[in-house]
Amino acid sequence: MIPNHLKTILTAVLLYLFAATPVSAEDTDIKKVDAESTGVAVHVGKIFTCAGDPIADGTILIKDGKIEAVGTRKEIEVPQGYEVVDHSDQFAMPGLVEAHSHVGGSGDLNEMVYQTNPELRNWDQIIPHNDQLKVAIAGGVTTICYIPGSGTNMGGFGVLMKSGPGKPEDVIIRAPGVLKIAQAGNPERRGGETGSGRMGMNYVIRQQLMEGKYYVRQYDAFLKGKAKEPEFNLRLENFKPLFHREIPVVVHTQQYQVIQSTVRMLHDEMNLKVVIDHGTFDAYKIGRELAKRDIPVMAGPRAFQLDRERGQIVGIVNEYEKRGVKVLGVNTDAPVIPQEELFFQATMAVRFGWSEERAIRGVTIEAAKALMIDDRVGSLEPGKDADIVISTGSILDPRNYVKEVFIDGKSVYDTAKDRRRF
Amino acid sequence: MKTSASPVQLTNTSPKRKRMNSFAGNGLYSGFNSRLVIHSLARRVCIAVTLVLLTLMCQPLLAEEESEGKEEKKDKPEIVAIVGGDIHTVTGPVVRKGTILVEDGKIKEIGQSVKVPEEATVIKADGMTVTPGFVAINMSRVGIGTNPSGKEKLGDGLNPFDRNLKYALGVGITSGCVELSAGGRRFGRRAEGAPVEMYPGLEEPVEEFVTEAMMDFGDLNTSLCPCCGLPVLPTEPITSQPPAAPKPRKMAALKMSFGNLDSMLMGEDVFYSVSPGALNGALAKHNFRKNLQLAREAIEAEKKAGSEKKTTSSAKSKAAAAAKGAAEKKLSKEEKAKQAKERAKKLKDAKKKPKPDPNLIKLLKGEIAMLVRANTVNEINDMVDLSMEQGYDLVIQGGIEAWVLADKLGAAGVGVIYTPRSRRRARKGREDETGSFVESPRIFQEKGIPFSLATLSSSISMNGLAGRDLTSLPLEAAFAVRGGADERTALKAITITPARMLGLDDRIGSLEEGKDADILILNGSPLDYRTYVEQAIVAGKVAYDRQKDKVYPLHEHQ
Repeated sequence: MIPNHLKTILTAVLLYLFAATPVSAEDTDIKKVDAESTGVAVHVGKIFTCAGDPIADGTILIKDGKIEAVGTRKEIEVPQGYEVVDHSDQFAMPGLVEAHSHVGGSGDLNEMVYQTNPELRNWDQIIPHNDQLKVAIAGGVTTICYIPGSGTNMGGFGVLMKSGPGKPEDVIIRAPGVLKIAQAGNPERRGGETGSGRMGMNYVIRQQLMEGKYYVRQYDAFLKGKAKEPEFNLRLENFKPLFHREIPVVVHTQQYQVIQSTVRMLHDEMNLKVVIDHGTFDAYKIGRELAKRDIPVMAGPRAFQLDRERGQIVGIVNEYEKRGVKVLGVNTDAPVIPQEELFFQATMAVRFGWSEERAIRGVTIEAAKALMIDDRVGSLEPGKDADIVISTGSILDPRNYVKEVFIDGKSVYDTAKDRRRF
Repeated sequence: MKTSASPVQLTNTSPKRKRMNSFAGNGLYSGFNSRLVIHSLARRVCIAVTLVLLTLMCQPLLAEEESEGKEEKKDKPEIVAIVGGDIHTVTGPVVRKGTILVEDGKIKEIGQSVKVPEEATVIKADGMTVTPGFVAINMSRVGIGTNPSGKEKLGDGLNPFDRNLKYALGVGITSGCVELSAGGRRFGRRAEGAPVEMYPGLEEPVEEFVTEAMMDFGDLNTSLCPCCGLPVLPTEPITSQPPAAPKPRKMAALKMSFGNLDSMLMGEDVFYSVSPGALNGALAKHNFRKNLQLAREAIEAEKKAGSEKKTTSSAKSKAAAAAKGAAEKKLSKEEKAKQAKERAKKLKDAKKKPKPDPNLIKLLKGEIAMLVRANTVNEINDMVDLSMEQGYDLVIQGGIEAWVLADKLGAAGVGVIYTPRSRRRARKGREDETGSFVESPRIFQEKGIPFSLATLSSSISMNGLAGRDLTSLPLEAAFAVRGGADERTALKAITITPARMLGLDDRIGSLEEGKDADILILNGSPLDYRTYVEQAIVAGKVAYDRQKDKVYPLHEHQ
């Protein structure tokens, strides 16, 4: 990880020093082509829309970067002038959505001075279409939740972005995208100050959130004309969408006990939109409580737990499924698992007992729901972003591979032209 | 693979050579044949006692397991029949709804119309896929109980009750190659991955995972500081080190015969395995060539001695020997003393002279292949050239950039142990000649390069990261298919090809008459990610049963 840090820091610094704007020539070219294009029709053998039953012999119409229509080939009439792409012996599905990634830009994602860092945001340091993302696209990943690390209890605000090329404003879906909170384990302070144990860590999280909550409350009162405008505080500004429940908090939390405190503090007390973002080890045992509260779980990167009493391997995702967790998916915590292997996390979940249909949804629409961007990505429906993955078969089977990827209606990876990357 | 052509196997080497092998690199005892024999006798007694003790210890356990099935009388041959499955023989055609007859741990007959004797234990495999057990070319230390110290052999440290055997059997691995590295490599560059976050309260240390690309410092051979994680720059040596003789790593081929020590060890020193550093640079190469020369001389001497013996062993030699004996009797005491002195001097000289490495002798004879880790074009090229110059079989481990040299490797008959998911970032603008390439398996297949598949991490890990440790072997084969190899070749890459590399293809790696009965009963296609091993039969005995062992989650997909 460290060398990667160094490298990416270096790249970022170089970019900053030598480029007035981080826009390369190739990006502007793509824009031009886009302006000229009218529409695209993609014929596919089978479509997993993730919004209903799969469609055999289907056609997807793309217009202005959005999906215009999806249906069987018979139903859909291709308008005149549309470019036709024939993948009639391939599969199509929505672009994969990663709920937990650290490879969207420079890797320096931990500021280790303060224990809580709501003032930090990482969308200034993204590197669109970087080398890791290029390979990720070849694994079908089109959207990532690029978040700060878990070195502190509140690492900062992360961003939701596309993996494709373009300027930062082209690829960003939402900023602030999510708040990153880390409980237990990594953010533990080893120097002996507050936060070397779970009591201390829960205190600093609660204290910081309360501060933010009062700031937002005062601001809301001001908007209603019931209070005077609070003094501007950059540290607390990004709490506004959080406490308005417009963005979720993704929580680095695992083990039964820790998730218990996540649920109590962040969901029950603070009334936040919570996403359990590791949920590993024995945490699945709290699944019913999560299901009751409709809390999404994006499990990973660990996919199984050894039940020491029985000596048997237990598939974590399937255990959540059994306990009724609806919005359920997997993550890679890239680069812990390479970003391009997001599908493989789902593959392994199926191997350990999950259903294939749920697994495909788990890396697309369910992840989008958890991140609250299901109005734009995660399924192939009219009006949504045209992020489409064409593969030689079910993406869950490692024997199949991704042939072509569209992001916002543009072909960003095509094995007919490009060298295969994964 | 050249090794496959050589009929000489570990199993049929002469007892004399075996003894020599068992003391490979043992300077203390070399030259003292009598002591050697005594020592080895004592050793055998020791082993025998241990075996008896072990079997005594194991008996209640074994009895328990056997009580569930039928127990056959010992004097009658043990016959097992696997009936009704689609048999993927690997080396031959698929036999639909066939029967495999196993007698005393060996395959007796395969076919659609095999007559099953009455006394046979029948295992029904209707609707199942039957394949040979998978061969893991690199499985770290699975099945090793205690670390054998310097001069002990790996076989002395086996643990037939290692729980890891069950996890390996559960994905179909019935045999493989274990390895003890000479030390080091704990920190430093690792191809597999980046550190996973450590969690307090977690019992076991979490294994590290990083992609090679992220660890790539170019050609700078450096390690990471275990404390701060920063790269440690190589220090300039103050004085040049004298070249050390390469120390091959201890390797052995094991059979995963859970609970049964007798059939566990298939062979030791199955490769001449050295670190690339041992052959890197002019000094190291010079030293290696010198060692090879010694081995070559020893082979020549052996040949000469062999041919001399042949001529003397004729009928005439008897008379000559008798005459010689008579002449000896006539010798005076003085002459006898003189002769004794000469003999002593010869012995002393022999002691001074450097001894050839017995493993190098085996290497030059083609009994074993050299195994060396090489990933970049330069490393691979260097090793291939050296092997061609010196004329030994070579297996490249890693081979991330081997696809660049595919023509050369194919022509030289060099084997590759490859991990389809291993990554190395290409140099900018030189993507067509550097870095890993996802279509390497297709290229290997097209160029006729024999390749075995290895997993990202060769040990079995319970850290929760799925599909990256040894138990992902068949999945890695699926990734080889993704990389363009066909299913047949990918299946071979985890069965017969590694068996050939190990020189054990007369015993394992395919389903053929006369071979060991290491057989899998799978509930689906062998490379499908949903497929589980229902039963694994090792040396004719059921060593793993999915429903009974409950190692992996139990569920039905289809």
